[in-house]
Order: sequence, then structure tokens, then C-alpha cells
Amino acid sequence: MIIGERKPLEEVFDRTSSFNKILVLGCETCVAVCLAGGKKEAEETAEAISLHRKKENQPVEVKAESVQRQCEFEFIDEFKDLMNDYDVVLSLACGVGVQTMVDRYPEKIVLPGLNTTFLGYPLEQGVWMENCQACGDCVLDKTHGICPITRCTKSMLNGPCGGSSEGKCEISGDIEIECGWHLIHERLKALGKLDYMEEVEPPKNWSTSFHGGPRKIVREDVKIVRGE
Amino acid sequence: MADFNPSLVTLCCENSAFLVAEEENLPGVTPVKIPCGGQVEHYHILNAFDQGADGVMVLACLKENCKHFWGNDRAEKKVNYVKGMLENIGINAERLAYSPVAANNEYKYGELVKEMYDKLKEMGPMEGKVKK
Amino acid sequence: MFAGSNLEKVLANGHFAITGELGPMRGTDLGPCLEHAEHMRNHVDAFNITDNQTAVVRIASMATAIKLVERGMDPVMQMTVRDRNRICLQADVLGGASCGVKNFLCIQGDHQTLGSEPQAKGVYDVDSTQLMKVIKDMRDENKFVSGDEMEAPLDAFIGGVVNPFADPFEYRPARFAKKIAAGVNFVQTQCIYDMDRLKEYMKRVVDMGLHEKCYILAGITPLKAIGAAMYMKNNVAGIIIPDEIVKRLKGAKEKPGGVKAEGLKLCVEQIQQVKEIEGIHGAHIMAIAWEEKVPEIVEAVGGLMPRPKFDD
Ligand code: SF4
Ligand code: SF4
Repeated sequence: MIIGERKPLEEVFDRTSSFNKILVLGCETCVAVCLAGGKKEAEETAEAISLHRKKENQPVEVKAESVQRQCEFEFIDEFKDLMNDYDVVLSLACGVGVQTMVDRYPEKIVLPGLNTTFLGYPLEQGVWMENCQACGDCVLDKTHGICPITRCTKSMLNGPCGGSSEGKCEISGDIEIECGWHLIHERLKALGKLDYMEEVEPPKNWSTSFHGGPRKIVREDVKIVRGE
Repeated sequence: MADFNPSLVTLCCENSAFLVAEEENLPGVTPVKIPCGGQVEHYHILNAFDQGADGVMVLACLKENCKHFWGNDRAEKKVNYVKGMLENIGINAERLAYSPVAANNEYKYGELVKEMYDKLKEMGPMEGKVKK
Repeated sequence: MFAGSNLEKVLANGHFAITGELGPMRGTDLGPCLEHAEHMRNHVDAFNITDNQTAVVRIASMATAIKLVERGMDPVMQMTVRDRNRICLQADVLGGASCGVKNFLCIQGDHQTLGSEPQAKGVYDVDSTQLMKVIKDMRDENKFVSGDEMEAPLDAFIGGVVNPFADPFEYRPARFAKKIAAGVNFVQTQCIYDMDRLKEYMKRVVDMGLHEKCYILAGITPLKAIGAAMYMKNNVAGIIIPDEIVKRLKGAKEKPGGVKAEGLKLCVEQIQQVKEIEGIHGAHIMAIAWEEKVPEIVEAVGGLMPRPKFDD
């Protein structure tokens, strides 16, 4: 899923300071599950803005709401009326949600209240980890389920580099980062498939990733043509 | 600040602190019943401040005494998180406190609340609050 | 002969090769670096130019390498895959080669977050192993990565690095074999302090016959101070400094010449030791911020002077 983190409150206060009617809009899908942008977080952010503005002697009207999925038009359409009552939307959805809102309500100002950080999963309660960069040409079959693009700091396809030490990546500091290629090596060893570690993997085609430009998928078979 | 009478909200777990709080009925103190410390959300605490409280206390069960296992520990962590938010907002984090209280310890409840109340009195009204 | 560089000739003729490392400056004056090169001119066979070493911005390795070519010296141009994509890497190989550079050393490079510009975007279009293959295909197939034909051929002696001190240790020889398959002609090792581990690694390398397919230069770095040794021991991933070495340096504090003399002595002994290890064809001396000591070290090893000379 998409993992995010609320922007620092100082930044939120600063960006919303010129508005007097603020709608804080959460999203109940990915960012709610990672406890960053769901209903509860929308409420606490709204409370924080309200308190801060009171403290600054500039009271504000702020409301917290949340939508099942902010990245789909059919879900955000229901906010049409409510939108009229506010001069800005502080979206706690991921960057996709923010842009879907802008697309649907072009006359409104929609601000991001969240930093969309990565695609990943909860390792345990309170710990999230990145493990896919949507490269557009998945190689997980070769590495048996551990992504070298994401889990190796240098996205090597022929790793590990010379900085791998005791299972840790060379960039490990206060936060320990596992060496992705160490993990791949261990996994292939356990599966009896270490042969792969001897193959020279050729340069990757990055044009299927973001490096080929913003990606768009068009599927004629599922498109709805009016009048059909 | 002798003439300042703070308003203190105590968010009390119904299995412990609230049982005493009900009996005590201290002036300037508004106890609010919560089903468990673990049920307190960040926005509940912020909301209490937003509605005019000068201080908020979250009072849950004693360590390892929570009916729902870790509700009290979670409440304590949440309080610490909200303290950070208060600092970002520009409010003295000392206005928020967490304490465990046993269901049969009226004396402790009264003591903790009084201590907090006096502290608030000294601190004065909430930052930015217009004195009437 | 792949490129006929001085380094390649020394190795191909069975001599124990000596190379020295040069780190370009952090400003526009290359003077000190060229001075170091001149100073060790008669003592090393080739000069290894680092490429924004430790991810710190410096004069480009290609510019420095070309300057050395102009002075009749043989540079080894390091290329990290951290800062350039395949377009630029291939362009720089052509650029270097067109100006007389013959040795290209492919390395992954320390991660940018560890260097002077931690907010930089890393490139990592190809990895170091792939870069070896890219240069090999340019040289042997006359082709770019895309398959397009080159307009004029490339001569290149392809270098790389191996680290016997990184993990997983058991995989390291296989990784070396992979680099050979990708086209590497010579490698230099990470700084050696743990002789036992090096010997164990080399035993496996020799068992696999890798030393017959690729020249191996032992990486040697003299220790100048106890603090430097401790820093490397604790903070540089992929370097192992055994406690005995630290002890020996500490014990030298009171001796004449102190820690520095002991560090040089240790370094000379290390070269003498690696010379005896089967499969090692030379030493690469990385006297970081101590380049002026290289001639002294080479002379002290014994039997290395004068360096072989070849007519072009
Ligand atoms: S290989 Fe590509 S698609 Fe597959 S997990 Fe990694 S980044 Fe995602
Ligand atoms: S240490 Fe491991 S994860 Fe880190 S860059 Fe090297 S191979 Fe990749």
C-alpha cells in the first residue's frame, strides 16, 4: 500500500495561515491503515489547526471529514456541496488523492497535508517499510521475492556491493538498514537457487519505470465508449 | 495570578480513575468518563483544550492492571505524542499529564489533581486565551 | 593485449605490479595531485585516479587522467556508476580513450548520502558489474549498450574492485567470477589488514582458477595514526582491522618515529606478505593524504626497483 506521514505541523499551520474556512479531508484507504491520513488523523489535524489559530488570535472555521477513497472520482463526488462551504481543502490523502481532488474541483485550492513516502507494508505495529518502486518490469521472480531495486540502496542487479557488512547496508546509521542483497543471498541459499547469484544480469530497461516519463495505461478492452 | 481559576479536564478510565473522580467533585475540574485509556485519541485531548481547558490529565489504571491489557501503556504513549503536538502548536506541554490511579485510591486522585491544578494556576491561562 | 597500457604490459610480462592512488583536489588547482604523481613517477607503474571518492565532489577523474597522459604517465581512470547514467558513462569512456586513457576501473561507489552532497539524486542506471560488460562490449563487439555500432574502435584494459572483507564472505569468490564473466581484466582489493581472511579468500579464488583469468592487485593503505585506524575499524563498512594491528600501533607510541614509522613498517610488511600469496599479481598502494611516502614504501619492500620499462 501507499505509506505516508503527516507533514510537520509547523508546515501545515504555515501553508493554511491565509485561509479562514478549512476542510481537512482524510482518506480511509492506504493512509488510514498506516495511521497518517484517516479520519482520526484528519480530526486531530483539524483540532491542532483550530488550537493554533486560537492561540494566534486568528480563529478559523475548520472541519474534519474523510472519504473512502480520495483517488477515485466516484468517491469524491459526494463532497460537491460541502466543498462550497470551504475555501481550502487540506488533503491527508497521498499525492494521488490530492491530484484527483484538484482534477475534480479545479476551482478549489487543495493543499497536501501529508508527505507521500513510499510503497510498502507494515512490518509490525508502528513500523513501515518500503519494498517496491513500481519499476514497471518486475524481477521478483529472479530474486525470489526480495526487490533488488528497492531493498538495495544502490538498486544493484548484480549485488551485493563491497559495503555489505554483517547483513547490513553501508548506509546504516542510527537506523539499521538490512542489505537487500544479503537477504537475497540468504533466500536463494535456503531455496537451493544460488546459481542465480552467478549470472551477470544485463542493464535494466528503466524506460518502463518513471524514467520513461509519467506512465499511463490504456486498455481498449475495458474502456467505456458512450453509446455502445 | 491569584484571581485565575483554571479549568482542568480529567479524562478518566471508567475502570479506575473515574470511580474516584465521581466521588470527589472538585471545583474547576471536569472529569470525563472514557471506556479505557487505550481508547483516548489524540484529537480527544486536543479537543478538550480547544473547548477551553487550561490543562488536561489522562488518568488510567495502574501498570499491568489494565482490563484491556495495554490500554494504559498506549494512553501514556499517546499523551507523549500529543505533548509533542502541543509544543508545535505553541502550547506548554506541561498542561498535559498522564498518571495511573487505582480505583480505590481517592487520596491519590485528589492529590494528583490538586498538584496539577496548582501548577496550572501558576502557569496562568492557556497561551493566547483572551482573559475575560 | 587489450589496450597495451603500461600497467597491462607490466602484468602481462609477469612482473609484480605497483600502482598508486591519487585523489584529485576539491578546487580548480590540480597542482598538488600532479606533484604527487611526479614524486612517485619512477616507483609506480600506473596512477589510479579516484572518481569523487567517498562521494565527495572533486576534480573529475577523466580530467586528471588526461593530464597524466599528457605527462607520459599511465592513468587508471576510476568510474563510479553512482553519478552517471549509461549515456554519460559510455561518453566518458570514449572521452578518456580519445585522449589516451587506456585503463578504466569500474566501481559502484560509496552511497551519496555518505558524502559531501547527501541530498543528491543517485543514478545507478547500471551497476559496476554491468559497466564492465558495457566497456567489454564496446571494446570487443564495437557496440554501445543499445546495440548501435561505434564509429571507431576502443582499446581498454578493464579494471574493477573486489572486497574479500565484505559479507557474505562465502559469496565473494563467486562474485569475483561474475565480474570476470562480465569482462574485468584486473581487480584491486579493498584495503587489506586482515591477512588471514585475505589468505582464505585467495585460497578459494585460486581453487576456482580465477587468478588465471584476471590480474589481482592487493589493496594496501598505510595507517598514519591510531585515530584513523579506529575510524576505519568502526565506521567504514567493508574494512576489517584486527585488534593486533591497533595494538601494534599503540605499542609504537613511545618508540622512535612513533605511530607513523610503525604504520609504514606495517605497510611494507603487508606488501612483502601479499607478494608471497599465490594469485596476487601486484599491489595497489592507497596512501591517502600520505602520497609522498609511496616511493619510500616501494623501496623498502625490496626487489621492486627499478620498475620495468617498455618501449612503445
Ligand atoms: S522489481 Fe520493480 S515492480 Fe518488482 S518489486 Fe521491485 S520495484 Fe516493484
Ligand atoms: S550494502 Fe547491500 S543494500 Fe547497501 S548498497 Fe550495498 S548491496 Fe545494496
